[in-house]
Amino acid sequence: MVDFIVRVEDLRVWFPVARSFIDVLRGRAKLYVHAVDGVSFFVREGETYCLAGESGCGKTTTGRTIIRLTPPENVVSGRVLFKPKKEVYEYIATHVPEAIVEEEGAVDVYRVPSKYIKPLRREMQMIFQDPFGSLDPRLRVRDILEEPLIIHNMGEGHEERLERVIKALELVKLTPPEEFIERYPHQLSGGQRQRVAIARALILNPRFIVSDEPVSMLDVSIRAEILEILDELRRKFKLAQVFITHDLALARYVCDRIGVMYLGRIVEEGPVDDIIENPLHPYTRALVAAIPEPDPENRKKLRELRIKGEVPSAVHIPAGCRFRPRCVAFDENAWVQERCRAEEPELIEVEPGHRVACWLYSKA
Amino acid sequence: MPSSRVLSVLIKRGITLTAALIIAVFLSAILIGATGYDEKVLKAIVITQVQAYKQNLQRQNIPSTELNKLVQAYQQSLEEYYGLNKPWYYRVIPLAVSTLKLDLGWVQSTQVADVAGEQLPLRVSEAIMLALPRTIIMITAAELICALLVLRIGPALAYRRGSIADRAAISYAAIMNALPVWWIALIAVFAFGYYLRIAPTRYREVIYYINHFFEDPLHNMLMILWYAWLPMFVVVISFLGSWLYSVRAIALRVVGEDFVAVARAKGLPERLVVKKYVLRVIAGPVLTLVILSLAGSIGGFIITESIFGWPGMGSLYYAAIVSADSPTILGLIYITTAVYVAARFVLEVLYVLLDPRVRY
Amino acid sequence: MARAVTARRPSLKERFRGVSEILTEVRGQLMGKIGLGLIVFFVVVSIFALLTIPWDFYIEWNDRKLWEEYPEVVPPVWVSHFGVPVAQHVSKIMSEPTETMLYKRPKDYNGITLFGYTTIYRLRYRLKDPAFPQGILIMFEDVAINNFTYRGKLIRPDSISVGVHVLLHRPDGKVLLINEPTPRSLTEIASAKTVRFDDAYVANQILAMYPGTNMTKDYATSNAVKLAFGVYEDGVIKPLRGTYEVELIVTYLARGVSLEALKNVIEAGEIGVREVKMVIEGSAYGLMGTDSYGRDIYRALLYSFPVELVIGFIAAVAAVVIGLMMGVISGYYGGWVDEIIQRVIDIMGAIPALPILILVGAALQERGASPWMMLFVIIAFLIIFGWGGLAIIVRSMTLSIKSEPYVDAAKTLGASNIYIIFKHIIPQIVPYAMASLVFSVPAAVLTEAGLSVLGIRHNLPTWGTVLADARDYVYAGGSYGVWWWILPPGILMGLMSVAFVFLGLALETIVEPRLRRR
Repeated sequence: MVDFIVRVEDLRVWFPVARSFIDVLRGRAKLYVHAVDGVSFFVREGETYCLAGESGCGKTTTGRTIIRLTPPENVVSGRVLFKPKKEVYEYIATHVPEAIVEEEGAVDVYRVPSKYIKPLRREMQMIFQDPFGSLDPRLRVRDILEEPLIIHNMGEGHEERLERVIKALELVKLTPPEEFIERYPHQLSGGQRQRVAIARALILNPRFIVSDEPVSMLDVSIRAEILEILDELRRKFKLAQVFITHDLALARYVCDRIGVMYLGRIVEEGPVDDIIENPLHPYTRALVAAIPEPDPENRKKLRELRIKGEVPSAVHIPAGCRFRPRCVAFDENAWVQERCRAEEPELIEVEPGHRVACWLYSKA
Repeated sequence: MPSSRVLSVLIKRGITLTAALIIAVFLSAILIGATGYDEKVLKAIVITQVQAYKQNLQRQNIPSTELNKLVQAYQQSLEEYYGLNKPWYYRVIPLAVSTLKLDLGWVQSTQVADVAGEQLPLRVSEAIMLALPRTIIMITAAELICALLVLRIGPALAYRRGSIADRAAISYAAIMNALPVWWIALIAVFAFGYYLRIAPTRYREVIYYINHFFEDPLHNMLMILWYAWLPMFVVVISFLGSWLYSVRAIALRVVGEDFVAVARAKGLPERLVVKKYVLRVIAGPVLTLVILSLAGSIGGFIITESIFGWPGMGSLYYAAIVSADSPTILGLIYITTAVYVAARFVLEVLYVLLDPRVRY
Repeated sequence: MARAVTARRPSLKERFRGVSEILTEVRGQLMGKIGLGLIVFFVVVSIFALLTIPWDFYIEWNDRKLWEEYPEVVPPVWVSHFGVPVAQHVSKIMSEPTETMLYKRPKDYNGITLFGYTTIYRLRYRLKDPAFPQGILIMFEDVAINNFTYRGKLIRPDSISVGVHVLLHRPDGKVLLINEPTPRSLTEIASAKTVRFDDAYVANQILAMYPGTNMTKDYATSNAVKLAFGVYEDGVIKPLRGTYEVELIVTYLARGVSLEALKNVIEAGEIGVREVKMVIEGSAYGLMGTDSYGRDIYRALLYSFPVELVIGFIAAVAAVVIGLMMGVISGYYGGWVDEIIQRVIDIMGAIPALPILILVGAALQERGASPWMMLFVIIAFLIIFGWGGLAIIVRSMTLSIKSEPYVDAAKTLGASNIYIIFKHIIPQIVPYAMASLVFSVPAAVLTEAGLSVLGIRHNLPTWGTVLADARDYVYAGGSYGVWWWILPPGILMGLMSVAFVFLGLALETIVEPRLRRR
């Protein structure tokens, strides 16, 4: 058993498609968007786990679900286990013993009612994609950073909280802090805003953060800087991190392990270098092939994009392997076709730590 | 073909609006009954009628014991007739139910009949049919004039945003927004009727010319105009303000759109741009505005009509309310609400059918 | 490490930064400037009114007796500056007689017979302009009616007979007796309190003044006051300018009491008239004229200022707060709560509010509800029917704010729904709600006034009721010429409305682009 901080087990998040009441009267079946459809993975202490995939593959929903932003009624099955600090664990053990998974020493996040969720929130934070939207435009930097402290009753009085705010600003290298503390978000650049967002997420001393494409909306020139700060802090505080991105090159730079998602499922998972150098799943291969080539020598080579069609709707998931309609390998390998049509492949370990969900690699 | 989703939205709307109609009628019925309002007024009616009856008998020299008996019997029959011998809900609830079944019943008070220009007995439906054309002449016609004017001026103002004409129009709209119609009516009667004497100060006589219209159409037409011009004028200048403001706002959104900019950049003359691009887009919202105000105006403007003494729906409403004439009140509430609700529903349907973007 | 940043709470100025910023912007616009200026004016006058007029002035206003001594339906005095001839209004309280006399035997005095202890009060009156005063009124403000003993005998006030004569000395030397002198007891005088100008009695004397003319008794009676202050020539009455004198003569006699003794007790103030008020009702009064009961319109208009502001603000604030909360709840929580709120708004929007409000008002009036009760119900109704529109807009704003990432961010920080609503959502909507609030203030005031005009009265003197009284007067056959009665309340109402609408429009142009920018 691995020593995880966060473990997601067979997570399914479905959002109902609104039905008119005439549809209800006609007895039409309720339809769902299968945003996340059976995802399992874990993150160790100090590890960064990447969720990669096209937009709409459910990676953001997965991230939001771990952090408990998804309304519980949409989490259809599965569980999110989280190992909080001892005090928090004990707090939850006394108030909601049914949320404790004792054999793992973890908390089942979705069994904690919102009434008791607050201490858990301190432990798991999120950095959002949009640095322009994630800061309330009416609040100054100091108000934004003070807010988590106020919510969690941290810091004795205004002065101590201010001290912490200043420290947090120094951590994210917004120095000198006094220059930034009175500013409003619109007086900051995108990079500065995202640093404030990072500071806000870290001011509570979490053990785990979800970073949802934290640099995708920033200018390319400042991305590296933000990523560096994030990486430095992650190391400093031994943070476990789920890093969501659509950019495999970036994933290679940031992560330890990666899970490639397609239409609500992880189709391939493993150490990031393994995956990028030796992609197995036809979808991963296509993604890897799409990574821009830094070597000018190879740039001229016409790279074949081994994928077809469009992402199907997450309401009507194709039967069997969900990637089948777009799979080039499916067309080329007649011997698996029957299985691809009939059954959804599970993740199988092909090399140590490298797992793939494709019938091509099934030993049976 | 509207999808089932659209249909169900319409059905939901229909149910809500019908509920509004029923609630309006029952709410009024309960307000009349539970406050003891109709009882008080009806009792007063009974007392005057009994007095009259008594005096009549006294003139015939009937011995006092017999007279008292007769009077008592008469009083009892009256109380029974008006339903005063029973608690209020036996009086008003059946009335509300029959009103909802479109059986509006009979006018009770002479005051209401007076506004209608008739004598009792009078059906509520007749009273409404008499008052309605008068309100249509005054308010509805004026609102139509407003709508036509505004469709001409509104887009042009939006087109010349910030010009002197535009700013003047906004100031005018702001002032007219601030002053209610009845206020302007009061001042107008004061100025035009009393000081300048180019309009009447009392308007009830218009009944005669409307009722006898076909006997001498030309002359009666002129007489009606003499009575109606000031009320219409007041309604037009008062409503033009807020209409201008909202139509200009609607048009502004359109004028700012790229396709209009493209049309202007192509060098199309303003008239054509307005006609081909702007009017077409704003027609929908403006139509909504027009239909809703027309439907709303059916109920008359109670205060304004009362200022003029104009014998329309508003005055009928008022007369019915102050004389606690429950059948008329309920009938009026029912008819005016029904017209408004129907208009809203029709709009909803039109909106769904006409706008390709609305597909819920 | 030395820090320039010191820990401090945001100052008041900072907290209201948004508000003061908006105010500066409002002042930058012409409409905003006018609106703000007018509102400041209304507030200042309201404060002045609160300081100068008792809060229960409405009781005084509705007590017709208190306004008897004032001329009815007259314009304000300042019309004289515009060349309108005005007969001055004079009212004088006298606690000492001008002259006292002791007539031990009957004596003739200007055609009347005086006998007994006599006190005379005189009031001079100059008629400068060719205009007619409205009348003469004598009021016994304070009459002592005690028993007293005379030579061991108890003398009761009802055994003292009092003769009251009121003479009008005209500039042309003619003298008129304005009231038929019938001797009455002191108690009767004390309860009657007033001596009025008797038209018919004066008419007889007038007829005697113009022998040989074709003046009829009816004519003289209906024009008695004018004839008393004028000269009749060729069928017209012209005001007679000059100095008049009104003379009130009170003679006391008591059977079996010596006049000296009577004089002593009266002079000691134990018995008899202590204080009289002599009034010559002018043809103009006060700053704003009077209504048909002689009430001072100025005072009613002034009293209205705070009343109208309070009505408007209570109704508007309550409706806006409810609309804001309902809209936020509807948008933030969604689901069946949203559905219910939206359907309620739909239904309320289709119910004809005004007729039902009139119905409620009429029913309350019929039941004899108190002014405050009426006002309370009217305001409550305005609130109930006033929140829906704002709630719809607030709901859609809430929906868009709710989907902002910073709301999610606050959730991950552990903020509760209530915290998010109050800290992140409502502050964004408040500027818009403010504009809407400003618009609703005059709406409430005008509806209240409209109801008054219709005859649904709460009986507090407000611009609406003053205007409504004027309308009733005109409809009862009075002349439309009472401009001082119709125009000022109407104009004040209009000005107040314009003030708030202007401010609202200025606010809206400031608030709207901000909302769009987000």
